[in-house]
Amino acid sequence: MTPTQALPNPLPRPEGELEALEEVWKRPRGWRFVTVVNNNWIGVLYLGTAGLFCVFAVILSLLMRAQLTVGGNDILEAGTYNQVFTVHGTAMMFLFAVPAVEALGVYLLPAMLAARDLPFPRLSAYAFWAYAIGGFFFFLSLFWGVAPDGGWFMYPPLTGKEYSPGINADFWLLGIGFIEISAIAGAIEIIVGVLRNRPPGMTLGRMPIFAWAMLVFAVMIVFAFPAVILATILLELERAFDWPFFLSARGGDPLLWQHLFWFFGHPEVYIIFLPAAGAVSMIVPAMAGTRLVGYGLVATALVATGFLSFGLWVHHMYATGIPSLSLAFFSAASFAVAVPTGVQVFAWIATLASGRPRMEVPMLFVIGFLFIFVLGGLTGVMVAVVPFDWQAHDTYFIVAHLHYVLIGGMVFPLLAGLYYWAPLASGGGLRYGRWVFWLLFGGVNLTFFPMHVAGLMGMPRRVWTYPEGMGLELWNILSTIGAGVSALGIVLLIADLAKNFRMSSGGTDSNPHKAGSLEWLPQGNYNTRSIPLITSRDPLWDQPGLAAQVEAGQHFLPGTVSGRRETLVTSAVDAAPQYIAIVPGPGWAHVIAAVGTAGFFLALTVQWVMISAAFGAVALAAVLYWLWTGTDLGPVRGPADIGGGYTLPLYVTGRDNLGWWAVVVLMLVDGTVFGCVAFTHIFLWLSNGPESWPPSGTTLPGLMAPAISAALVAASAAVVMLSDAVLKRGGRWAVAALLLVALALLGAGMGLDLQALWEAGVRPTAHAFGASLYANQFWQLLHLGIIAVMAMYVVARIAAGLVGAVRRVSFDVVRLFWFYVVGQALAGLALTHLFPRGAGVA
Amino acid sequence: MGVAASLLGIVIWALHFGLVYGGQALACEVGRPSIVMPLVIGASVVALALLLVLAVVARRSRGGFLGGLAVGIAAFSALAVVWEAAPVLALPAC
Repeated sequence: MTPTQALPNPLPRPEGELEALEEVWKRPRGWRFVTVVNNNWIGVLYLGTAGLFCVFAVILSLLMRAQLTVGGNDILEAGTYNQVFTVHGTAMMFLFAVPAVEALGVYLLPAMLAARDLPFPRLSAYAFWAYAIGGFFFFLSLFWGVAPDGGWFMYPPLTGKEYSPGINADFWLLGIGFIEISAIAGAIEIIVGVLRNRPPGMTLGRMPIFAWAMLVFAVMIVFAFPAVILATILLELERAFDWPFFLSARGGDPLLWQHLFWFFGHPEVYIIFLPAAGAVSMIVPAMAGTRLVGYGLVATALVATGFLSFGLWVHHMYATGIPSLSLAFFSAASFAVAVPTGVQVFAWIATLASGRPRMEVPMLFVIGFLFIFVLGGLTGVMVAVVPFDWQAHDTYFIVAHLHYVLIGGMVFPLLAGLYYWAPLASGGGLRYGRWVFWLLFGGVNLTFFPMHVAGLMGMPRRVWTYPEGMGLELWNILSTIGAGVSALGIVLLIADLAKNFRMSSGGTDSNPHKAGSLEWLPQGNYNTRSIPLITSRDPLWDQPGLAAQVEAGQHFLPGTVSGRRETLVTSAVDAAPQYIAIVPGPGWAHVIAAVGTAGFFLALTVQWVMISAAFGAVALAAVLYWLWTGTDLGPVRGPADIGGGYTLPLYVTGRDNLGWWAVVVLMLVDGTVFGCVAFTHIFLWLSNGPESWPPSGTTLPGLMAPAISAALVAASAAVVMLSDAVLKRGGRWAVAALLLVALALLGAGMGLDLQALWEAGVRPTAHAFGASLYANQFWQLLHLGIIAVMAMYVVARIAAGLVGAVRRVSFDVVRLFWFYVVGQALAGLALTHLFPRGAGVA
Repeated sequence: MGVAASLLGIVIWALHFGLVYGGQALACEVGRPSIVMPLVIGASVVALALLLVLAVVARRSRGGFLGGLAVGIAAFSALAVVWEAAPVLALPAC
């Protein structure tokens, strides 16, 4: 048999097959463009918005540099300067860096994995709009002088009510709520997409390194963001309702914030860096014309960097008086994480050495990245040494270090990626790259290198001015000149984009860099015409004729079998075809939901409670409408032939379903938040000492009430199990009734516990002990609310005849989450009632 | 070699790190500095032994790519365990 005969689908293809595919994936025109959900468009919008926010934040940095050009300058007042550096840092981290790399993933992953789209396109479109609207208003806060001013890491007590009485701090705490939501939405999308939407034959061991990097990135978001989510909730509860988590007079501890913040904040650096490193691992082999050296090692190093980076958070807290042995654990962990990063750097160097690198613009940016990032990494090893850090802490040396790491580690690779993938996104390439590179490379080094010296001379960061005559003038003038040179580079970059970049449905007919990965296949809105069978890590190099075969429709699923948008779902490890998932097309619901979400948080910031509630209700209604109309469509047709002997169903339930996977990821997020609630409780216990936990005068309720609560909560899980059995036998109204009973049991169990705590006299405002118990209550009751909405939704679907023995994904998803909520409630009861008793004995 | 098994090294490292850091903080809080050294060394020996077993099993199972991943992760974890435990030999417990 010749290879052409072995292809999954024969030629010629039926007439109208391609036209039908194009029609289904057509993008909405005119003003309806805002309803677009396809990743080829959302990805570019996302990246463009992140770039815009970056430019805003750069403008703020130029203001700061102008102020610091000479000592005693008065361009910015001290208070304004505080707002400017806080918004600069916050925006760069939350509104530029994370969304930009996420956007790169949203844009590139389906093309690299030859998937038609991401598994939940409306979710990423929703995340994008919530972020874009919320981010825009976040910047606007500067013009009213109400922007946050406590530094991007917002340490209490400075950011507590006493020292920050205005709404500035609330703008940070609530204003980034939407970015937390959109980061987690993106993480769910990327984890499920990378694991379940690969082309047949692309095993984990054949996956592009960029996909590995995005997978690790998304898993890190799942475990890192919960800490900052809880931290912001706690600080907002303290500011709004006087629950003293961080007030030491009432048993709180400001270090709790630092632990929670940096448990997020340190992995955050790698969350930003790893996707950039993944992009470099795609660009280097293409530019060198050879395979990546040490593919397996690089993949392993990405995973290792991801998890080791969770053991570093205390290295931001060396100056807080923590015992030296504790600091040494984190110092050692900080050295350990340098090893896998070093492995990657050596793999790139070895790849360059083994090929013939072409000095094109992406390659220039890669070399700039290596130079700047390695310098930042070296100063990172310096500040990982505890005694050195005590000298450099809170000086410009740190400012220099973090900018070298972040600009070197993220901005240069992103620009390398922009110049590398621009032909894919716009059909033609960009032109002014060399000028942009040299201006930015020179400008960045000229800006930040002198800061090392200024810092070592003792110039403190975050102070609006400095005295003359201490030898700081020269270094500051050099930095300001460097900032100006960098700004020229950015202006030129914007000009290049404005002149030469045009949004398109994606794809080039040629493979301009002669790369080996799948995004260079001929593409449209639907990505590849047919989904290729993959037999190698570099398919375009090893599978001759692949591009022509794919475009002719000779591989899997060359058209649409249901007349809707579809994508192929494969198994997580081996990428064996499992089913055809129907993915939603354009719509308004997610746009309205995004407006509602952003409005909810922003109105809450300025304490318009009713307006905020109204926005929240709109968001909830829109999400429910979108779920009702766009998900769990049931078996719209019987199994369909995709070629290669595979006849796949269009609807599966249970553990193979993509929605099930999404809920599992969500459970990991929620479980991590709950873990942070438990950490809060245990940390405050340690901080107060066992003898004052609970504090004198506070008694917990007897064990009878929590025992009844536990029984009721557990019973609700049992009733849900029963409803599952009834649904299997085709029951309908009985299932709805059982779900309502289960909801009542869960509500009764949680309500009883709250009542018992209150009647025993425990109050959240009296002491951090009570505050931490009510933080647990808050988290549990939030889940009760979510389960209530979910249960009513399923009951309504049952009433409408949309849930049954076969069509039951909605039910399955709710059942799974219900079990999680029950488990979390039981753990919460143990934390409230058993831990203090056991700890008191110890 | 399944995905979960290949990631087991991470779990061992995380448990070791949590135990060493949390155990030391707790021991110092309750005024028992003498248990810090045995705790850290004991936990490290156990963690290294588990990582070694994991690596050997992964190699023998001929687990392909995921087997190699398991060995690599175990190696990085072992390095981190040794480095993180080493300071206990040089610094006061509390």
